[in-house]
Amino acid sequence: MAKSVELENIVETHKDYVYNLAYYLCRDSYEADDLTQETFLKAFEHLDDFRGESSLRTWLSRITINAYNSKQRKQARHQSICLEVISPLADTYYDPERLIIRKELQWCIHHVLQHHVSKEQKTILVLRDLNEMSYEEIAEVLDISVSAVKSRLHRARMAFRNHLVISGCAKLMKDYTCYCEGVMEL
Amino acid sequence: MNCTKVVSLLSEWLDGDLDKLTQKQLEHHLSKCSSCQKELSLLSKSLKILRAADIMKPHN
Repeated sequence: MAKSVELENIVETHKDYVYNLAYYLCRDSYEADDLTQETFLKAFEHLDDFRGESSLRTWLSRITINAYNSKQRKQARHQSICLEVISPLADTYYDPERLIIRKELQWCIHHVLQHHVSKEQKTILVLRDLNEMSYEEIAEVLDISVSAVKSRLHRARMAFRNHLVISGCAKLMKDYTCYCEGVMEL
Repeated sequence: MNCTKVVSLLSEWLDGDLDKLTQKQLEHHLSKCSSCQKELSLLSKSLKILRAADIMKPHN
């Protein structure tokens, strides 16, 4: 198979997966587009180094996370999340009250992931609970043992729970300002 | 199995990843311990909330 055809197939097969992972990490559609592009560029540059020891999806996940971490290191500034960039909710009917609750809930999820769990915890939550990867796949992506995945995941879930549920979630919000003083743009 | 051990295994239990013996011991403890039941309920609810973020998935 010609290399150009092979590359096309890789993009076609994995583009949605990589984009979704990038989106969960960045929470911004433009940044997710950039990160997706960067991931495939890096993958193509190093395709000859891919020895098939892990699945292509696992390899691409690792590249995405490394690229994201490197980007994060460059952007030291505190970022807020704009809810306007979040895609429309999946509700098939319009119920204003439900919509408001959903939006507040989205706010909480984004906010806790962005500001109240560590980067390491956020990554493992995204891989397992949003991208539904197996323990084994996560172990390969993060280059750690399966037992380390389990303990990290447990700590991450407890941290998420502590901020979201025990702290009272919506009760903490006042004019969309959290106790950490992270202000959301609506 | 004590409460500390049970709480440390709740995440794996929710993922259905415990071996049968450990699962049985954990469930036995849970059936008698209201404090661990509360921990389980909180963790389970927060995971449902987190996974609800999936409705925002931009690409399918």
